[in-house]
Amino acid sequence: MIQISAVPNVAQMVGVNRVLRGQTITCVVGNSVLTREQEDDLRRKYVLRSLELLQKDVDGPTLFTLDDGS
Amino acid sequence: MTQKKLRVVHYLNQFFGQIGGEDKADVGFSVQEGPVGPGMALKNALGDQAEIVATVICGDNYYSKDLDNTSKEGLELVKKYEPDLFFAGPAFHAGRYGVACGSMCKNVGENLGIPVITGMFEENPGVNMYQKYAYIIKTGNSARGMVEAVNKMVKLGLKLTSGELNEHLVLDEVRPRPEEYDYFSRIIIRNEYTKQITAERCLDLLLAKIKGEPFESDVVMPVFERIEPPAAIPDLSKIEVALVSDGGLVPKGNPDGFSGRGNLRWTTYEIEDFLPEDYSKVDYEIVHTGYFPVEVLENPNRLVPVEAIREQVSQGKVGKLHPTFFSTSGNATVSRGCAEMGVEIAAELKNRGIDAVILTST
Repeated sequence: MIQISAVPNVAQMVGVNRVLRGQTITCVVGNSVLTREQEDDLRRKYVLRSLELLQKDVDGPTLFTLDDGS
Repeated sequence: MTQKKLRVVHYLNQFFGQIGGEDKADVGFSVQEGPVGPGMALKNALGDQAEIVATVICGDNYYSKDLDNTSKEGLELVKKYEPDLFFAGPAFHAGRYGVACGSMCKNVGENLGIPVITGMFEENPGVNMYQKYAYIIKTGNSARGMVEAVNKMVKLGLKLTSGELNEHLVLDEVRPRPEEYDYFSRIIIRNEYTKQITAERCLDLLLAKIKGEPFESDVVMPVFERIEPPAAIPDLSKIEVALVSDGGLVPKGNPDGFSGRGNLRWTTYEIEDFLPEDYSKVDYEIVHTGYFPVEVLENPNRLVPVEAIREQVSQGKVGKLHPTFFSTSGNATVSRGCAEMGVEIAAELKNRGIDAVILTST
């Protein structure tokens, strides 16, 4: 399981192991100031990053971001 | 005019109740009028102020096999004696006994509205389970400390039945401090009058913490259990992924009756009908009242990224997107309620053979 949340420290606190920082509270997998095409691109990145993290071993609650490439 | 003597009922296990040892742990309930075993120490400590009218005895195995029903059975026996005060154990380090004492105290306290007191060693599992529901005196880890434990239990019991209000509390209550009577905190928050203003108290606590000096937090943070991280998935192209969200996305009209706050319901929606490619924003509602819903209503994929995952499925990156979306709303729901919903949703997902979940939250 991977949780995408704009308030990721809550997820970490309760013990979620794979946490991906989302965009904003009101728009967790998107960005309303972008064009439709740019936003689709951003959403694609979130999904790809999520899938990548599902394939990654973790030892405990770990916070990941879209860009940190870890 | 003599003061009416308090009526006390005492609970003991089969060993302290003088029925037998581990070999008798399966015996059911029995009652004896008057004190039994350590009840004599209890009687001495109570002196003229109270009388032990009955001792309820039960085997540790019998009690622990079905807590709900045995606690009801025990309650009926206690009720008959119309006690003003109830004592159980003390159980020291004995786990099943501690759980039985805690369970009896909880049930008697909640149903009869009388003070309920027991005693346990800090590592007894009964402490964590029942400290909110009963006064659990802190004891040593063996029955060598019986007299000391019983004396503490009685001291607290007499205080609770004295009707003496605690003047430092804003509300009129009999609520003796844990540290004064040596019991495990019942994790109850009360407003009280203090000599310092809050700002001064905060700074003193913070400075003590920074200096490494002892300090006591007014509110104790809950501890969440560690969840073993599931193993990484080796091959995504073979798996089925499901989407779950607690952002409160529901059909317009909220047909499943989610609450805007403190919601405890979850349900499933078939993605084909619920979030088709040609969705219309008028068909949705965000029932979660904790965030501004306009952006998600413009495009629900901003909360539940169906299109983006479908794309990865069609490119063979992911095996399958599960056709059902699991929806709930998580705004100011108590963490225990969230955990219960989580367990139910996980069971359903497991039932359906789902391999992975993407959970999106605001």
